[in-house]
Amino acid sequence: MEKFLCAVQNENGVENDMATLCKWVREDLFYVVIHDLKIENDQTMSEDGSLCASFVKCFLERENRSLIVNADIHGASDDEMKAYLKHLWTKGLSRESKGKGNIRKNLSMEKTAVYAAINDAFRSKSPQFLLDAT
Amino acid sequence: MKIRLTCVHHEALMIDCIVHDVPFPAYETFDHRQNLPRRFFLFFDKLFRAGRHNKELWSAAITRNKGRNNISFGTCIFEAHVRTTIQENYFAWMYQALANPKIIQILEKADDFKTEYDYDVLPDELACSCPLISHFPSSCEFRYNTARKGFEKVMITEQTEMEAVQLVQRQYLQNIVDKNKEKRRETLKILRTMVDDVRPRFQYYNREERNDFNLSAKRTFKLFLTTYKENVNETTTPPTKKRKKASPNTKKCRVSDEKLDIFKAVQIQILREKQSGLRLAWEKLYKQIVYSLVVNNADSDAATHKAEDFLLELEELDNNWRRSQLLVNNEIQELNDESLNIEEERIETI
Repeated sequence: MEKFLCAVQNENGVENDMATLCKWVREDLFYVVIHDLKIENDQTMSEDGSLCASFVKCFLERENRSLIVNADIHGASDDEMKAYLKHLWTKGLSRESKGKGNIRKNLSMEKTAVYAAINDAFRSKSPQFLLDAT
Repeated sequence: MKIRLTCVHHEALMIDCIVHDVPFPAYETFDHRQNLPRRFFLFFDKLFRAGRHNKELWSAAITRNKGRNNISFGTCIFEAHVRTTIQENYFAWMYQALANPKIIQILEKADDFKTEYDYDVLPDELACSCPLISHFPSSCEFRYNTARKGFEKVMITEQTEMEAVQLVQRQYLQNIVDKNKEKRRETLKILRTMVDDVRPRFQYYNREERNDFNLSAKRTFKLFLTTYKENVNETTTPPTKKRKKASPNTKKCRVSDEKLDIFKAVQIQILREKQSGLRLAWEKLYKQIVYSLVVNNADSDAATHKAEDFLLELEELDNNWRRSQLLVNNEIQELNDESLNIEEERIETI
């Protein structure tokens, strides 16, 4: 677990990978779980839940591994990588990670973005010059 | 009322309906993929696409292998989310747009804005059949074949058959509107009174008043309300005691039970459509229609010069003229300043 321990201590690396996690949450995860509407069992969000499992599975795949940029975890075994990915997930759920790195926050932000986009398409924020009446 | 053609480029549904003088679609009609493909296309192409807001995915699904691919536009849960969001905010958004003269300028009074609920018999042209609003081809209709699990095209050449399909779909639409219109008309009546009251004053509102306006829109017209902030009747006073903010770790859900029920029902319906193959057939049809449109547009763009292009060019020219006029004005100002300086210097030397 040497590589895992080094990777966890590499703050810059972890921060960059948190950005990757959040991108995945907003671009992929949100579209399969509208989390606010499924809150009755919050277990799904936990480290042992299905969402974390999908995240780990996704980034263990060879083509996605390169998206994890922390240099200290490169070349690590699957178990170490799995532990590192779980660490990222737990960090994303913790209260300390406010704003950008927070999974719940990102789900909520994506939801707001979707709401705003539908709202615009429904009623529009048209610039004044588009409509002209005489 | 004279409208500049530039509006043709604009895609927002409410403005489009006002500009092209068609009633705004009833939201219950957005749910019928199988029986109202023309109407569902409108929902899918305008609102669902906007909600998905992933241009790359959208264009890949349409163009990759000429639309013959398995890329899905969105999951069932997401489609249910979009539908529920529209249903929830339908009247609130309408009120916010109509009351704000910056969003909809051309309205003299709220009664000028018509929805399908306002008609006992729907007019001939609707939003989904208006070629300037919807890209759905007007030369054909589609109907779902349950046995083949696919949409069949009925061409304009098969006139009687096409008319029959149109008649069935129109009747279906009319039934949905008839079923809901009484209740919705009551809401629309309140909405119009409020719009006529607020609209003349809206531009003078400060930030606080605008916030109050948005809150009142939610209170009056948002469909599913159970949270303590929103569900306040006029007769009751809001709770004064400050409540503790719910922790994200608690299992309490922030949305109302009613919304959850509706969401669940919509999701189950979409899942059924997926299992029966209807959803896949729809996506195939959508890709086919939009791909042919993309190809046609690419051809016509190269060959022809449209009226809208000309107007855009005019607008650009107008902007350029303004810019150049500004430059000229600046130069004149500079020259004036210079001559003034010279004059001052001359006076000083004298």
